Amino acid sequence: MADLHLGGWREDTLREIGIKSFEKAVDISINENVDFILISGDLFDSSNPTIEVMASAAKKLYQLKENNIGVYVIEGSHDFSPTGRTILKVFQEAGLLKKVTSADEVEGKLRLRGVKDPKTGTLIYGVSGIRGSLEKATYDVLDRSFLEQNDDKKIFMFHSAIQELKPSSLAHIEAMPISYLPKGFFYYAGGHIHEKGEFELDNYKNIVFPGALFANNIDELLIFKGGGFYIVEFDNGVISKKYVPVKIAPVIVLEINVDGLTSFSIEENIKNDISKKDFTNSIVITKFKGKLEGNISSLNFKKINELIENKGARLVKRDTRGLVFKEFKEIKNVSFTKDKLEEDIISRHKDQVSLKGCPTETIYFVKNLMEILSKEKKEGEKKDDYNNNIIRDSIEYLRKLKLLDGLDENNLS
Amino acid sequence: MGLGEDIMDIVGKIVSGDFSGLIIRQKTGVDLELGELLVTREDGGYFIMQIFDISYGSQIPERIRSLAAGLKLEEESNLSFLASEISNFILVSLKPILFVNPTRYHLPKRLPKFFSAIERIKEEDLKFLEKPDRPIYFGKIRSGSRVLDIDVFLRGDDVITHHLLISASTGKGKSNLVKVLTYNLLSESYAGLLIIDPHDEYYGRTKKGLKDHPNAKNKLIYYTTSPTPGSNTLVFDIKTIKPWHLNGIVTLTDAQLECIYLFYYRDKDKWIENIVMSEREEGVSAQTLDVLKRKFNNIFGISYDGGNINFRGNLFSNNNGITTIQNVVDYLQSGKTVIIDTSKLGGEVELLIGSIFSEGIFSRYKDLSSKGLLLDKPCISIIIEEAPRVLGKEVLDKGPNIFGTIAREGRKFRVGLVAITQLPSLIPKEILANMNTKIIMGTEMANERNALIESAPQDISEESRNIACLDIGEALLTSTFSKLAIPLKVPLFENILLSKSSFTKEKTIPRGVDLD
Repeated sequence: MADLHLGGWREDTLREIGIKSFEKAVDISINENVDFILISGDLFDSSNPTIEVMASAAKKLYQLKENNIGVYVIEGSHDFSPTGRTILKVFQEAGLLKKVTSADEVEGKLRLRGVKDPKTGTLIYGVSGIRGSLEKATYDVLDRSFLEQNDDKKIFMFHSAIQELKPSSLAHIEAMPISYLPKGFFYYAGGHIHEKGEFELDNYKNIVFPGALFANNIDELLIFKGGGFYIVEFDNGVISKKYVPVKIAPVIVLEINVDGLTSFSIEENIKNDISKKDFTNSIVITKFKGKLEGNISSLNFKKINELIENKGARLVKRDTRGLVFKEFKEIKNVSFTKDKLEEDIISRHKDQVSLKGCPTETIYFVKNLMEILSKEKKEGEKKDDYNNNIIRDSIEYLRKLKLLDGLDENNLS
Repeated sequence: MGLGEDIMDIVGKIVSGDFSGLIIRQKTGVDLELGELLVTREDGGYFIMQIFDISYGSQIPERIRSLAAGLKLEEESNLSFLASEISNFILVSLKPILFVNPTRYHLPKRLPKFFSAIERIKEEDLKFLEKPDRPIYFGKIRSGSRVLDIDVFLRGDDVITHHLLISASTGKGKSNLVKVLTYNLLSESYAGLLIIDPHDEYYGRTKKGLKDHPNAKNKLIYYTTSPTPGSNTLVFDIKTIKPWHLNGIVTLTDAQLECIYLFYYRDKDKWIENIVMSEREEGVSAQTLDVLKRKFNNIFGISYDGGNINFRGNLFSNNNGITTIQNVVDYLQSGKTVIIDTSKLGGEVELLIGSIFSEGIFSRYKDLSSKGLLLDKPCISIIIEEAPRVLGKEVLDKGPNIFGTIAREGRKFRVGLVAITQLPSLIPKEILANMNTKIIMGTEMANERNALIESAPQDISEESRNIACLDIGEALLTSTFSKLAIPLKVPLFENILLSKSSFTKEKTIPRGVDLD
C-alpha cells in the first residue's frame, strides 16, 4: 500500500476515515495471512503528525507485529524530513516498522543495503521520495549494477512519479524516467501517484502503484471515490496481484445545476432530488454548476448541508468551481490543495530573494523550511524545548544545504 | 601604421573591373587563395572584398611565352624573361561585399578607387560584427583557409524561426556543425530544440556529446528506445496517436483514410485498437480493414490475437507513455533541448515520430498564438536529418505533411526547421527560398550548388567554385539576417568541449536514503 496520508484532512470526519481505512487494510491483511506489508511512502501526511494520529497508527502497527507481519516502509514526499527527525524513525526504533533505505557510499556510488524479510527471504530495497523529486539526484549515483547482479527474490520500493507511466491527469508533475530504477526486480512497489495502476515496460515487470488508500483531497474524492491496496502472491516464480478496495464511507456526488434558479428553488430542487436517496454513512459532495443569479453568498449552504445530512450523510463537502456568477467571471478550475496554493505563492515571490549557493530550488527550500518552522508544539512539550527544537532543526537543515558556510553558528540562535 | 608597414601589407592593386568583379594584380611573392577576404582603405572607411577567381596575366604575347616554355622543356635552355615578375603576374577577381565606415556598414554602392592598394583582412577590420542579443553561434570567420579569431553570431530567434538549411556532401562536417550549434544553444534560454537523431550521435551515449554541456542536467532531455540510466524511454500510448500524424508519412488511399476517420470520430482515442480488433465495419470493405490492420502492424507493431491486443516491441503500448507527447511539447515550450534517438527505428516509423512531436509543438504554439500568449515563449527549432525524406518534391506531391506546413507557416508561430541534407535540389524551390539562413559546406555536385546559389539570401552567384572547394569544416553562411555571406570555419566539437573543461560537476547530496 502507499499514500495513506494519515492525519491529512482538516475535517475530523475525513481524517478519521483515513485512519479507519488504514485500520481496515491492516485487518484485511491479517485475515489474509500476508507475510509482510510494504508501505511505499506517505504513511503520514507530515513527518510530525498529531499524537492522536500517531497513537492510532502505532496501535495497528503493534497489532501487525504481534501477528508476526513485518512492515517495510520508505518515506514519501509528505512524511520525509530533511533533518531525518520523523515519526517513522521513532516507530522504527520501537520495532513497529522497518525502513528499507539504509545505504553506504562505495567508491562514489550509493549502495543500498536492503532488508531481508526473515519469513520469506525476500530482499527489499528502497529509496524515499522527496518534495520536488529531489530523490532523482540519489538515483543518479545509485549503484544499479550492484542491485542487479543476482537473481534473488528482490522488491524495490520507490515513491516517485515515473515519466513513462504517469497518468495523463498528472502529465505536468515532476517525474523521473523509469531507467533510474534498477532492473530485474520481481516487484516494484510504487507510491506518490494516487491513481492505481499496474505496468510493465521492457525489463521492468510488475510495477504497481496501489494508489492512495483513501482520497487526499476533494478532487481525488470526486475521481477515485475510494482507495485500496494490493495483495500480491508469489508462488513458484509466478506473481498474482489482487486489488483490494477499502471503503469506509461511500462517496456520492450530487450534481446541482443552478442555472437561472433562485436560492429558494435550488433548495427545493435538492429536496426533491434527494427525497428518495439514501445517504447513510456517505460522504456527499455537492457539485454546483451553472450560472448563478447573484453571488455565492446567495446560496444557503448551511441549509443545503442540513437537507443532505438529514438523509444520513456522514459529511457534506461542496465543490463550487463549476459556478459562473452573473457579475463575475467563471472561477478558475484549479486544485485548491494546500500544497498547490503554497507552491503558487512561493513561485510568485521567489525571485525577490536570492539564495546564493543553495543547491535546492527555492520553491522546495522554502517549503522544507516552512515545514520545519511550522511544527506544532506537542502536548506537554515545554515552550523552551519546543523553540530550541525548531531552531536546531532549522539550523541543521540550513547547514546541510551549506547555507551557513562562513557564519558563526553559535550566534545564530 | 607606418609607410613601411603599408607596403609590406599590400597584396595587390586594382587594375580593372566593374561591380560584378574587380580585377587586381597580385603582388609577386604573395599567394592569395579563393575565398580570401581582402580590404582596400579609403578616407572614412574601407571596402571588404572576397576572391572568387584567380587567373594568369602577362604582357608577353602568348606565342612568345609558349616558345620560351618549349625551349626550357626541350632544350634545357636557361633562357629567362627580363624582369619576369613585371611581365608575368597573377590576376585576382574580387567581389566587393561590404563598405565599412566608423558608424555603419553596408553593401557597397560604388567602386573603390582605381589602382587602390589591396591588403589582406585583419581581425580588427571585422570588429564591427558584434554579438547580438539571443545569439546563435556558427564558428569563426575564415579568409580562404586562414581562420580569423572573430566569432560569428547572428540573432538566434530570427535565424531559428525563419528556418535554417545545412547542406553538404558526406564527410564535410554536417554533424559536427549541428553539434556546435546545439551545444552553444544549451547555454541560451530563448529556444527549445527538438532533434530527431537517426544516428544517435548528438547525445553522446558512448562518446562526448551534448550530455557533456554544463547545462545538460537541466536543459537536455534524451528519449531513446534503449535508455541509459536517467534517460527517458521512448514509448507512446497508442491512444495519443491521431489520424493526422500519419499525413504525408504513411501512404493511405482515400478509402483507408475514410475508414480511419470513421473510427476516429466514433471511437476517439480507441480508433487504432478498434480498427485492429474489428471483424467488419459497415461501409468499409473487408479488404480496406485488412490492409489497415497490416499497415498498423508494420508501423505500430499492434496485433489482435487470442482476444488480446499485443504489441511487438516497446515503442507503442496501450498502457505506457500516455504523457510522452505532452511532456516533450512541455519541455520544448520551456526552452529545453529534446533529443529523440530514432536510430533503432525503421524509416517510416522514425518519420512518424518526428511528425507526432512536430505536430504537437506546432499545434501548441498555434493555440498560444491565438490566445496572444506566444511572444514570451521560447522559439522552437526542429532539426531533421535527410530533410528531403519529408520536404522533398516527390513526398510533398503525395500530400502535405507537418514539416511542409512548418516550412511554410512556422515562422508566424515561432517554430522553425533546421533541414539537413546532401541533396538540396530535391527540396522544392518555394521551400528552399523560405529557408532564410543557409549554411553551405563543401558540395561537389553542380546541380546541388546551383539549387543553393539560386535560393541564397545573398548574391553568391560567383561562389560556385568556392563552394566546390570547401574543405571539411569550412562553410559559407548566407542569411537574410546578415548583410554579407560569411565564410566560416566551424570549430571541432571536441575542441569546444576541451576549451570548457573547467566545468566541474557538483557533488550530489544523496537524499531519500539513510547513510550512517
